[in-house]
Amino acid sequence: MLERRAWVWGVAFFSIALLIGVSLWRNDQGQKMSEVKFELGKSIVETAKASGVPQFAVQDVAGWVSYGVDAIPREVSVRYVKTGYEVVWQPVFALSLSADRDVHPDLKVQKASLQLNIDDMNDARAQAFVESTILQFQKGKWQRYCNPEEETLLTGRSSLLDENGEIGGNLMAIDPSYKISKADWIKVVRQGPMWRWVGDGVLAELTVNNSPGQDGKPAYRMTLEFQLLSVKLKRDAENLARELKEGDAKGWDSTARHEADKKARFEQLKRLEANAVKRGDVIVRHGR
Amino acid sequence: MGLNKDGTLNEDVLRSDVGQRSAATLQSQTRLALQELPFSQNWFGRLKKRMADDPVYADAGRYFSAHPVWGGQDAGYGMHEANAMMAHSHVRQNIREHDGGYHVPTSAHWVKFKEAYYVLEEERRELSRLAGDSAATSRLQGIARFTVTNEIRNAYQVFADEHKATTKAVQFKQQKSELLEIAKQEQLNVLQPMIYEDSALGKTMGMNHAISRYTGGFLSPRYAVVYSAKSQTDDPGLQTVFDKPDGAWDYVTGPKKNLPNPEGRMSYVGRIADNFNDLMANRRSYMEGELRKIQGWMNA
Repeated sequence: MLERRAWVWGVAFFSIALLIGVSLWRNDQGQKMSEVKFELGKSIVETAKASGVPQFAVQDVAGWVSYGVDAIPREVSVRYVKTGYEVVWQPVFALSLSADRDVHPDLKVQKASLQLNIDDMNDARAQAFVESTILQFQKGKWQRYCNPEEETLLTGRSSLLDENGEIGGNLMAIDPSYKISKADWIKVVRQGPMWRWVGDGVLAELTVNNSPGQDGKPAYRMTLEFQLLSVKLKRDAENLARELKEGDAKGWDSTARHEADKKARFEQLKRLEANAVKRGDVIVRHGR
Repeated sequence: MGLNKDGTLNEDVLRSDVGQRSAATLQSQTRLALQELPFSQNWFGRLKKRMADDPVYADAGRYFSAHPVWGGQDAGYGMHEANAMMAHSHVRQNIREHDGGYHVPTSAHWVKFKEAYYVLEEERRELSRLAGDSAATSRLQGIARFTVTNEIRNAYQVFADEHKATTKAVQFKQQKSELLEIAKQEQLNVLQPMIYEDSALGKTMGMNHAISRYTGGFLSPRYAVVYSAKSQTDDPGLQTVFDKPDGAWDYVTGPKKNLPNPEGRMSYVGRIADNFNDLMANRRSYMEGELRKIQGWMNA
């Protein structure tokens, strides 16, 4: 009887030890993991294997394949590993890698999304975290990005202002070198600002949003996305063409309206640039 | 209504109106309509009376008053089946005439039910149970006494910003924010007090989740969002599963989240929103096709 009990306990102990060894966010050598690694442009299967994540949840919706993991331990950082462009985020709640079978039949990762683990975040901590992330991009070979048909790259506070000189507008091409004041920060983060960079054909987007709910407490959400720029631009163009075609077919005159909007936006960008120059800020040439 | 005569958005009206949205200031006809909505206390009162007086149920039930003779070769089964057939047929033929708007699904669909009498019996049992759940009715009444929330204010703001957006990229960004604000309103301000704060339900959901997680969905279905119109699918590739184990250790150590807990649920909702946005950007035709199929379910 005693022998049998000892045998049962032995098996149970061995099983638990094995489970801990193979799956508690440990690497192949059994050492506790401190970092998850990823990059774009390689097979999603190989990228997932090399990432160090014990197990991804895999989705395949009509050929849009994504590998996702959430509840990443707080002590594990997540690193974009492209040499010269490294960026580390921590603590990360969720990471997902995506590939499009229609674009890359060999399932190259074309997008990676990170969602920050927001615990007890207030305005000061959020701003400090964003500034530390921006600093990493500035230390790398990244360059500010904008779509020249939609944005212009301005320096200083002008990159936060609309035509009336108020905080607002698109907030999709904020000058990363500009230190936002505390008062402006509160207004800016309510409008979902975005900092964008491009490097080695990859577009990186840092998005921050704070929309307090009924309890009035800060409710921050921060995401960092990396995606292959050429694929994104092609997809956006296809989506736009389909939307305009459908709108025209319904008699909404969508193409003509779109062209008019583009013209109006071009004129608006010229006014934003002129206002910026008057304030002493600078227009940055695209690609810089 | 927030719109100008030419169809453009009147932002000032939209912004000022949102602050005035409160059940206390509703116009009297609107307030009356709200009190009489399905599943309200008044509606349940009428439902009880209607069920007690339902001639279709009473008449169909009479087909069973001639009791089968439990003997012979089929032990009376044939007669019982014949009675049931007559009862089902009676329900199918008469239910539309005595609908009154209380049937789920609406009576137009009942002609397709082969065993309509049994469906009617089940419907009555379920509706009686709902009518007797005074705690749930009182929670619904609490929701009906709404005042405007920050989430709705935020959603109106985002909607106005989206309308003003001069580029597609900004429009898309605002649509994502709008989706999240509406999800927060639905999850935190409506569903949380209405269902998730029911402690018995919370325990049941927790137990279901634990069983589902330990058995891989075998003994109890997983809590998951399925990106497909298929009524049933085991394909994990089409699902975002709540609190799915990320490895063997995570599996043996049991659930890490419970759906009634708002924090765990909102991080899950955030992931679903991100997936939905990705799919709408990259698989729009597929998603619209599936949504159209779901839209057509009621007419299937």
